[in-house]
Amino acid sequence: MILCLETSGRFSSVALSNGSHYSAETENFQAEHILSLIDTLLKEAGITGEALDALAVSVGPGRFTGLRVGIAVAQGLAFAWHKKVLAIDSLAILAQGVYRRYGAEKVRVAMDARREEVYRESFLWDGKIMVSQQDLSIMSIKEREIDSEEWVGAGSGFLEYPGLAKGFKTCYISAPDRTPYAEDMISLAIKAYQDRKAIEPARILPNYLREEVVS
Amino acid sequence: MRILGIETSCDETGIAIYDRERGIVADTLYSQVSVHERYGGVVPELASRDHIRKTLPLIETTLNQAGLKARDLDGIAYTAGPGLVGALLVGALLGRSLAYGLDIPAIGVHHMEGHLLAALLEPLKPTLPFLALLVSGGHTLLVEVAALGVYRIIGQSIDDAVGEAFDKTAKLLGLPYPGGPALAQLAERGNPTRFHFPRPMLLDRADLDFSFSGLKTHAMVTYKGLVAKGEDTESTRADIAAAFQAAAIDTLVAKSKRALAQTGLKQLVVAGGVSANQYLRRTLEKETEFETFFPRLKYCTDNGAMIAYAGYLRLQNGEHSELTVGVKPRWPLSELKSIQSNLG
Repeated sequence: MILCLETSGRFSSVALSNGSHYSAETENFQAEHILSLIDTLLKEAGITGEALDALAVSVGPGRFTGLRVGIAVAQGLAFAWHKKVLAIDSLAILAQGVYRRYGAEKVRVAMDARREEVYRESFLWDGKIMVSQQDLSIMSIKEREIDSEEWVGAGSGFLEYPGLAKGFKTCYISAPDRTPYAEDMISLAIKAYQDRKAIEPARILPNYLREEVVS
Repeated sequence: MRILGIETSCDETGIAIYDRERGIVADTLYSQVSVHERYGGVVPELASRDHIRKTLPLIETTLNQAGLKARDLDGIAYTAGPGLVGALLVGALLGRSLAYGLDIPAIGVHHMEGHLLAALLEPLKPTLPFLALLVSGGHTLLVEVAALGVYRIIGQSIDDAVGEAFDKTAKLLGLPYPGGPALAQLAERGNPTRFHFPRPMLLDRADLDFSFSGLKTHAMVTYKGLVAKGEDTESTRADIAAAFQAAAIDTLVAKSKRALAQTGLKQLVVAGGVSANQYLRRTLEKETEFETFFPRLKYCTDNGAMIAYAGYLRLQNGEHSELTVGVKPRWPLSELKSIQSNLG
């Protein structure tokens, strides 16, 4: 059993690989409720932390503070329970949600990164999970357009910068399409676990993509 | 009973373990000074990034130093405020989650209470009640410590903290970040009587508040005047540093004495980064009317030991934090509850 944590967006959410999940809106992006959600989830499932196979946490890109909240929680729990942790790409989680809701198999995600930039990455459905096309990057909206042929767009980037949606037949920008949820981490986490990607908790770090933070 | 302390409120990651029988049994610190140096001040986002990298590895190192496993811990204390919100969150969530995972209680500690009580970790320690002078880059406070958890702020800076004034004046004189200690070093070589700087709010006001921003401006005007006259030499800068330091420290000492007289207290505890200042230590050591206590230098600046100890006292008092983790970037000392337990 894998415990999945997602705190990179406006909601903090938790899920177990048996399918049960909870989410709560965060106040001031601080994810104060994440431990209560975990406690409820584990108690309902009747399992202890020690019985888990691994933990999985969304490592970004996303809100910097939110990413650190999730990672700090994953580190603390995994260290206490002697478990390893799986680092999951937040844009893959979002793409996974788009597949779950709409069955879209070719998805280009663009997440608002502010300062007229987006985090962007493309995903293809392989029959089990959305697989990254290894093109994760931070992109200026002035730089270029995102190739739209045969793809659907999804994420807050298309809402914030409508110019990006040019050429796309479909762009999913409703509230759920802008937030990664822990329930959509489950199949990604199981695959990563099978691929032996779990690492020591102290080695899990945020993937900020943006290194220059002083203007 | 063993308590792990986690301090991440600003630009230092401090981890320590307090043992009721043996005191502090392990203590580690990672300073981010080199990260913030090129910006001339603490960059909050960079501070948070370093805390998430360092906190868990330091916890592992600290446990190893003490020869303990995580399951040997009986409680976890983390700094819950005041401080930088993003930095506080890292330590608070890691600490709270670790405690949840280990099924032991956790407690959010007030950073300044940690500083106030750090002197009690020393073999030669004050008895309650005492007066505390907390002086750092973020604070200038005179606090009456009537009992554990019962704190009354009787004096504070109305503008810059004294350490901040040291740092800014140091920057003006071209000293590297963080300038305070460098300024104090330069002052040791200077003549404090060549220039006379005003002692702010000393004679014109009978209260216990401080103001250091005018003193900083006075240093700037004096220095710029000398530069204009072509007198910008090493010895001139040392003399300005000495005049500034004398004025700032004399004010701290005079107001502390005034506070002791007003409260009738006979013991003064000096803590915070500025308590490392040698001129301050020399001046207070000459005083015979009262006794002065300085925690050892590593407990004067931010550290995990003081958080572990304050957390121990609070946990022993029956307090603990809930699963909903909150940090308080602003948190008045007066909101704290008194601690009923005996000193351990």
